[in-house]
Amino acid sequence: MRSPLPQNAVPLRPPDVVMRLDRLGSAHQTRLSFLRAMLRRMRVEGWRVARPVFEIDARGVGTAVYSVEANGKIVSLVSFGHELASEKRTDRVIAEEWDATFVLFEGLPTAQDIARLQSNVPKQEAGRYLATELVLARANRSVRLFDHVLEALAEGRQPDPAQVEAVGYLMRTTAVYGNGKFGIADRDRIKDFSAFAGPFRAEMLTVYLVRLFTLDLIEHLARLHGGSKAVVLDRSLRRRLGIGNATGLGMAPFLVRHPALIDRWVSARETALARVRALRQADQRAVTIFRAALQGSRRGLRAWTTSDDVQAGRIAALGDDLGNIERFATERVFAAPRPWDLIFRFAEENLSLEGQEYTVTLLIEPHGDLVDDLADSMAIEEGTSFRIDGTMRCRDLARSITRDYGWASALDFSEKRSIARFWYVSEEKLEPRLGERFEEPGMEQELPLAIGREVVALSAALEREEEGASVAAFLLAHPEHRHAVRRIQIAARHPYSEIRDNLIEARLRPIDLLRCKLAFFGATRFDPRSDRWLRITLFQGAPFPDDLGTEGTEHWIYGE
Amino acid sequence: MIVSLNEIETTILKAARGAGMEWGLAEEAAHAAAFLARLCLPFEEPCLRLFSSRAWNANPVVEGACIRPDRLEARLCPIRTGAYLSDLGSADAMTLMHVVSPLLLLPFIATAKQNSDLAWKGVKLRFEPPNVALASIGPCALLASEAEKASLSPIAGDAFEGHLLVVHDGGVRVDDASWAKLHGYEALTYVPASAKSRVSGAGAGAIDND
Repeated sequence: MRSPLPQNAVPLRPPDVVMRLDRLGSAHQTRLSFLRAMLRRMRVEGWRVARPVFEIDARGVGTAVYSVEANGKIVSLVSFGHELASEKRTDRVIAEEWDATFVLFEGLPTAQDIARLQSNVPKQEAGRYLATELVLARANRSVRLFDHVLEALAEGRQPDPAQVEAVGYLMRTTAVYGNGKFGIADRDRIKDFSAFAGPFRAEMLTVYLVRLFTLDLIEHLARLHGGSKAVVLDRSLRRRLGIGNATGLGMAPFLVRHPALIDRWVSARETALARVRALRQADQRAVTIFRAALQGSRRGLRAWTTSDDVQAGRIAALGDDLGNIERFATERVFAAPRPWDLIFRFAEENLSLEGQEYTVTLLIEPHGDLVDDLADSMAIEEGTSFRIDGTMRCRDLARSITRDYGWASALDFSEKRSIARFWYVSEEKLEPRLGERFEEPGMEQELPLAIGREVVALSAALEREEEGASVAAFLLAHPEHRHAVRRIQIAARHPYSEIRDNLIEARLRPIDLLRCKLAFFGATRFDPRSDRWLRITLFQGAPFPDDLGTEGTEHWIYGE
Repeated sequence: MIVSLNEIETTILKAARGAGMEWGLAEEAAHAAAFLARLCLPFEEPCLRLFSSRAWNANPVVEGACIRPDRLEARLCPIRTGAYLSDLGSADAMTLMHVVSPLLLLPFIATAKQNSDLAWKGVKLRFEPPNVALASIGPCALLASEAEKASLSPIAGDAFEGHLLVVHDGGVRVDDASWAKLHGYEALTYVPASAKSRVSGAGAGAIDND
């Protein structure tokens, strides 16, 4: 295995720079993102996809099964199509009916399995599942595009490419559940599937198969509606249809509750960046890919629209930034020593956060041989970092705080605006929510996401403690600090584990948390619908199973 | 009902918090419950008994190789005391007095990753990483509501007459009535909706069915 960094290495960007919320909220996909890593493995290992069942009527009601054989193991997406009254169609997690519901099932389902799943999967959270079920999901039609494409195909013509590009998907998922939810398999069980080694791989495969289902469904419905007049989608248009997704606050606490895992994700990306920056020269092939990705990105920006004023401003700035990179990255730069580092430093000094983070994506893109091994380092057995080392002395704990939590000490929690919000779980929806501390009831039930405030309180308690006392003895007397101590010890081993900002302050934009996680998934076209939920696109432009091996599909995300 | 280990962990985390534990201890309780469930050992009753006792409010006092509650009528919390033992990570002999739901100590002995025996009246558990073996006179002893004295000691090299506990990674069958009671504790962590939270809590407002 390659060492993390070569000699003459460029240092990794420090956590104090990388782990700020505004920067995390400017993150973009990279070639290490989970859906791209999943597709690479699919190609390398030659997974085979089949569709043993497809029984859907003209209303879209029925059942379809997609099976994937990977390394001798089979998993199947069991899909149920439903008829949904338009007033019941909502992206919010509170919905109780959907256009389609899905489950990723271990093996090939028998008729009995399908019957059992049919009485549970359409109910989603209200159903119960077994350990043979790996992922649960549902999706709604994009009314804007679905009807347009269906009507066109049924009448024997292609849909308007501009509309296809503007929406980018036929259906959007409104939840994708894994890891033991509602009785489905625990992550521990999934990790026995080598195909799913890596974070969220089973979820990404589910979404990829849902995309196949939506495309098969629309062509099937067009045939049923249009008869012999109907046509199938042009292959190039087909590729431009991914899967949409609507994500809300339910996802937000994840990044805080999994510090060691987040460190692995960010470490992998930062290590990849450092390896590229350390390259003494640029080879011509890499330069060609870089330029193509840059130009593809500039074209793609035109279709990235949003009604959110803040994000619209950022997209405009990113457009300027990409132009500036293109003008800067001349032959002269590529002929100089460490050309990639020159581009990085130009971005760092001249571009918006959105532009800087996009530059990271572009720099990593041409260097698969150098960085793709890092995708395998993004998972972690979190149980190994759970135990607290109580033999540590209190003075050493205090030193760790000084080293890793300077950002917290700089916050003033006596100010009202620093503690203006609180996170809680709503009784009505059983979902995480953000409340106003001084205007709403419920702060007694606050979730422990205000890490900075906890660490500041712990620091004060440690000042009253004997320096040589053991952490074990301190915590036996002060269990209220146990949560913070565990995090501090994790942070000492995992530098990128902590979001270095105050998650309860008045100006917090919770979508920054969602965006960061979604970028690691591989999402594009972030479209905030408020400061608390957003829409994204997954797999837009991605190759289908039968053209995965085709030359030139590796950089699909830039619209090649 | 059959549940996943993750459901057990998240339910106990919130239930422990709902019962009044600090978050850091609630995490330990959740970890402990999932550990027992993975070995097909009961966790529901020991957790419920602990939650109703609120034993974590008593301060444990360490006197040499003995830990006891700070007051005569108080009881030791297996989570608060167990976490201390796990933090220390040592295999030194230790006697614990008046422990509620002593079965909940086992996961902490395992976390400390030392070869040890844990025993109370009618029960002996041997931990040799990663194996756990159990010798018990019956389920009542295993599920004892309190151990007057629980002892932790390094393995002395004696033969152990018990059976090895098998690790299980599928769904776990739980007692429905106890599971419902645990959810009752979990529900104490939820915040009822208000007019304001319905409007702003999740940031609704934009059209979402286009």
